[in-house]
Parts: sequence; structure tokens; C-alpha cells
Amino acid sequence: MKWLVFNLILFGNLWIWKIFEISFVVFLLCVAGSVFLKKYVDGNSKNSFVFIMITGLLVGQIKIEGINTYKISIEEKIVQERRLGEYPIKYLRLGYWMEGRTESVMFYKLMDNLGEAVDLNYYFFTNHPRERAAIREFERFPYVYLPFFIYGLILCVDKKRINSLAILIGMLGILTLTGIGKDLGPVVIFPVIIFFIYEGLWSLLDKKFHY
Amino acid sequence: MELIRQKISLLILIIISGFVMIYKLGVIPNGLYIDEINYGYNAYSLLTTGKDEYGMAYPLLLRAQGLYLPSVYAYISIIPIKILGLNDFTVRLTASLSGILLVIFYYICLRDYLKIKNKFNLFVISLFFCITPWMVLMSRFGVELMTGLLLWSIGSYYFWKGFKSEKYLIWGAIILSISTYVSYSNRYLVLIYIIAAFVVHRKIIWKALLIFLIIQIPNLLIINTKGFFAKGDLIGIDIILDQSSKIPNFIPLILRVFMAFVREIFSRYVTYYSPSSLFFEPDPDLQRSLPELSVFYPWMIAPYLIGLYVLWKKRKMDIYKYIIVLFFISGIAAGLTRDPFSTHRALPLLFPMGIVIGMGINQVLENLKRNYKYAFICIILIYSGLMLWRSYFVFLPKERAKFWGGGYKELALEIKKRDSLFVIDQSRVKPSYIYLVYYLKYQPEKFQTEVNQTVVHDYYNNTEFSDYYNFRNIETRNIEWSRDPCLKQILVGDVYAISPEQAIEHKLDFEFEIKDPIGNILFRAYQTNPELKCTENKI
Repeated sequence: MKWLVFNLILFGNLWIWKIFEISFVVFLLCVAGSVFLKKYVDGNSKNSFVFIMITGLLVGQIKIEGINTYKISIEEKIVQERRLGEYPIKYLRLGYWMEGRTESVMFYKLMDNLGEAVDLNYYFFTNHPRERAAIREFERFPYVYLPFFIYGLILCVDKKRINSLAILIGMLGILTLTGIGKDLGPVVIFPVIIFFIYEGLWSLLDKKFHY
Repeated sequence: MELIRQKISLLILIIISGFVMIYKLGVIPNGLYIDEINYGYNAYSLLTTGKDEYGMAYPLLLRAQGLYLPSVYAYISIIPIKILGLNDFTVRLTASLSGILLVIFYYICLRDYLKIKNKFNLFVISLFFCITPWMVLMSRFGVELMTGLLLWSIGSYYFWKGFKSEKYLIWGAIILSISTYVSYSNRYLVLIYIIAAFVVHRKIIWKALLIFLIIQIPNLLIINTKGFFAKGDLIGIDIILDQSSKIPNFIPLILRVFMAFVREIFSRYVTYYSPSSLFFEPDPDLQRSLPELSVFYPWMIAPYLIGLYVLWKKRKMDIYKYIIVLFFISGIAAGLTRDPFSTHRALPLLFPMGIVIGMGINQVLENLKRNYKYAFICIILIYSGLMLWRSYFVFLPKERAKFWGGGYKELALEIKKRDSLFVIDQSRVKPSYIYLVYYLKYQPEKFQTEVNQTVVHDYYNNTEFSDYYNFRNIETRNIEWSRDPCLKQILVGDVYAISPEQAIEHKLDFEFEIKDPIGNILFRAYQTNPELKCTENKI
């Protein structure tokens, strides 16, 4: 029964099929990664399998989506120069540190990436109501999964499942560095979300029906 | 000794809040937004004549441009305007003072209700609340929202406490009822909150309900007017119907609309609690947000999540039930509107979210060793202060000036210098008349005789608004190219209203230009030459 529920969640979302459409290898890595992550958190698998899958997903994501965080576009350069001019003269040096230095620009971009990675609407509501221009959004997970995802998170904190939470934070950290991309999306976090949705849903089903 | 230390820390908090909320209040943001102008001019009109801009005596709602704004803010603003005169500072002062009072109330709530024992932590948490971007932005915005939030927070708190002690309940009912006259969204939130409070406590206190309803009598008298529900179209029925068309046709229409409605409302509601919207992405509306800063600082995501977990663990305790109810109810009004994230309509969320984040910060500070704690606080404080300064005091006055009614003050000055007739083009700008009467300090008793006199007769149903106004030497309407070049006047519009080619074609002389601080043209004015243009036509 557990595995039925798990597979329903794993294959019952648009995202996995979108991944299948774009790359069969990444699709296999997502499926395997989700399975191994569940086994690892339950203590039935070595962590090396999980990290191999996640590394594979990361490589796949970078290959297909690329990384834009470390490039400053021409438009960004124009904004940067304009903003340097907006600082009062007596604070120009401070302004340079906050706008002109590459490290500052990268820091703001990393914050932007993190903001995109933690957007619940991106994963569950087709990024509605903040759809991105010129990008064909789709509902990665049905919105009915959201309460189970949140409940799954709470359960893991309650049960002190440090490994699952550490992996979640780790994946968010990776997405902060790489960005979420456009077509494939942040596949590196896919197994983690599947895991938490499963935990939340299974816990409720188990309480109700005592499987 | 402990009491003295507390009083000193509260005093320091008030001084810091006062500085943050009032420093350069009349200058930053650069210009007044139309809602601020509406309140400012109508307050001035009420002060000098006892009537609003249309000549309605002591209205319950201010018609403005068919917006029917809650009027209490205007009535309160009469006091600073009477003392210090009508200017940008006095229009915003009531909101600033409401913000300062809210910080004090927040401190008291954390101390007395949540019983945060460590007074240093309490001070630090309140300080972070005071410099929250949302708090600063809305406390320096001269509209009813911050005052409404203050009354919503105090009223809901006392109402909840009142289930254990009746004296609080009466005050809670009174303040909550009054808050519905201050802010539009409070009308709905207060009702939902009262019902939720009764459900959670499993009892109805009829005395409180009666007092609440008695104070609602003026609202009930106009509840069946169009003006009372002037903002009813914000839900976006068209969006829901559009979404329903994407659902397969084999499902009955009524079910499709219901499914689309549920999904649409759920998605909007969730966005107000999503970490992305709260800590990273500003409101897309450029007037309602700060450049590069969301409503909370990015680092606050951690205490937010920690605070939510603490709330979950202690959810069975009465104190925390209050926060949970407030937390989930406060997002309803905003969640029902079509905006991706409305900083204004979601403002009721600021107080409960501030408490949740405060609980999270307290949890972190309690678990940190002393030296690390001070280092952590210093680093976070410096980072937050710099981000706020950068976004609010450096970028906002320059980049967002045109969204804050920039240019009208200068336009009024240009109009004052000249006796010519002015035509202000209305194609793409918000109604200009109210800006000009405000900056020209046009006498309200005179203006009341020049507006549409039929408005007063059925004031609360007269929702149709025309932006055509004719007063002093000014007309506000769209430029009529078939007629206007043949009249001796100055045509004023934005950069698209009068192109250089049109100026040449219609023999217009460039008169003046008004730019915002970063060089964008806000207004261009041209003098007509009927003797050249129309003589040529005659030939």
C-alpha cells in the first residue's frame, strides 16, 4: 500500500512527464532519486546512492538549463551604473560596495534564486499569480498536494528527521547557486518534494485506516 | 530597577520608531500618491467648510473619484492639518503616529501576552519589527491602512482576551467596530474574526455582539448603496471564468467554474504566505513596493519558519490560538483580490506575521551563546539597516517618483506663474484635478461650487466618475486635436500625449518640461498659436 501511494504521487504529477518529454535520463534519475531518498530516510539505503542520484540530477539540470547567476547582462549593467549615480556623493564609496562590486551583484542574484526556489506557487499553482513573461508555465504538482507537503515537513521536524531536512536545505542551497531554470525546472529538488508529500499523505492515511 | 530598564528600552524604541517613521516624511516618498491627496484635500475641505470636495457634509465615506474611501483617516488628519497647515508632512503624519503606536503595542503584546521574559530579546525583536520594510513603507504612506491595522490589532487582541475578562471584551468590540470605519478590508476581516473567536471559544457573548452592532448602525444605513461596495470588482470574476474555460468540457459548467474559483482563490491566498512573496519578491505594483526589497527582509525566512513550527507545537494553548486565528484570517481579504501580491490589502497580515517572526527570533536568541548573540544581532541589524536605507531612502525617491504623483507639485508651480488657460491631458494619468487643487491649495468652498452639483443629491449611489474638471484656469480632459490648437492655451500631457511631430503640425511652442529625479519626462507643456495654426487652415 505504501508503495502504491508513493508511486501515485511520483507519477501523478505533470512535472515528471514534462521531464520525461525533455530528457529520459533525467526522468530515470528523478524516479531513482525519489525511491532512494525514501529508502535512505527510512534507513534502508546507503546515502551514497542518494548523493549519486542528486549529483546526476544536478548535472542534468545544469546541462539542460545552464547557470545564469554568474553573468551580468547588459541590462543589468545599465541598471547598476544608474544606481551608482543615485547614491548621495558623501556615500558614494558605500554605494560602490553595495552596487558596483561583483560580489554584491552576485549576492543579490543569489537572493533572487533562493526566492524563486522557495516559491510555493511555482511548484503547486503554475507560478500563478506571478507567471513569468515568455515562459510556458505548468502546474508541477497538483495544488491538492500542498497541504500534504506542508504536513510532511512538519512531521519530519517533529520526528527530528535531520537527514531529510538537511537534504532539503542542501537542495535549496544548490538552487540558490544555480537558479531554477525555465523548461526543466529545479529537478534536483524533485525527489525531496515527492518525499515530503508522501510523508504527509501516508501519515494521514495510516492514522485514518491503520494500514 | 527592572521597571526603569523596561521604560528606558521602550523609550529608546519610541525614539528609533519615531526617527524611522518621521525622518523626511514630507519628502520621501517623493510626491503624494492620489489616495494620500484625496485624504489630504478632503481633510482640508472638512476642516475649513465641514464638507468634502463635493460639498457633502461630514460624509461617512469619501466619494473621491468613485472610490468611496473610509473617511475616519481624513477626520483624524484634520488635527495635524489644523496645527501645521496642509502639506505633505501633515497628510502622512497620522499614519506615522499609528505606526509608532503599533510598535509600542507589539512590544506590550509580546511582553504581556506571549510572556517573552528576556527583556533584551523583547527589545531587539520589537526593533526588528519597527524597521521591517512593510512597516516603514506603510507608516510613511498617508492613507487609512496603518491606522486600520493599529485598530485591527488592538481590537482583535482585547476581544480575544475578553473571553476571560469581560472588561476587555467590551473594549475589543468597540475598537473592532470602529476599525471597520477606518479601513475597507476590516469590514470583512472583523466579521470573520468575530465568528472565528466565537467558534474557537464555543460561546457567543451577546453583550459584545450588541455593542458591535450598535456602532455599526451608520454602516448599516448605507449598506445597500453602490458606494458601500465600491471595490467589489477587485475579485476578478473574469479571471475565474477564463480559468474555467481551460477545464475539459465534459465537466458541467457550474462545476468547472467552482473548481476554477477554488483553485484561483487558493493560489492567491497561498501567495500571501509563500516565503517567496514575503521575503524575496516585491509587490509587482511599483507604487506599493520598495525597489529590491520585499515586505520582510530575506533573513527573516528562518525565524518565520521557526515561528510557524513553535505555533504548531503550542497550538492547543489559548494564547497561540489567537495568533493562529489572526494569522490565517488576515490574509483572506487580500486573497480575494486579483492582485498577485497587494502590499496594501494584505497589511492586516503584518501584525500576526510580525509576532510569528518575533517568536522565531526569540527562539534563536534564546539558544545562542551570549557572544554569538550580540554578534548575530549586530550583523543582522547592520545588514537590515543598510538594505532599508538603500531601498527606501536612496532608490525609492528617485526611481519611483513618477508612481508617487511626481511632477504635480512642479506643475502647480508652473501654473501659478502664468495666467494662461491650461488643458491637462487625462489619457494616461490618474485624475489630475485633485493633485492640482491640493498643491494650489484651492479654496474648498469655491471648488465645491465648481464640481458636478448632482453628486451630493444621491452621494452614496453616484459612483460614475468623470475626470473632466474646469476650475481656476485649468481644464482636465483629453486633448481634442480638432479644436484645441485653435484656442489660446497651454496643453500639458505626458510624453506620449503630444509628440514632437504633433507639435510641429499644430504650430505649438514648447513651454516647459517636468522630469523625475532620474530624468524621465513626466509632463510636457506646449503653448498653442491659434493665429498661426487656424489662419493657415482658413487659407
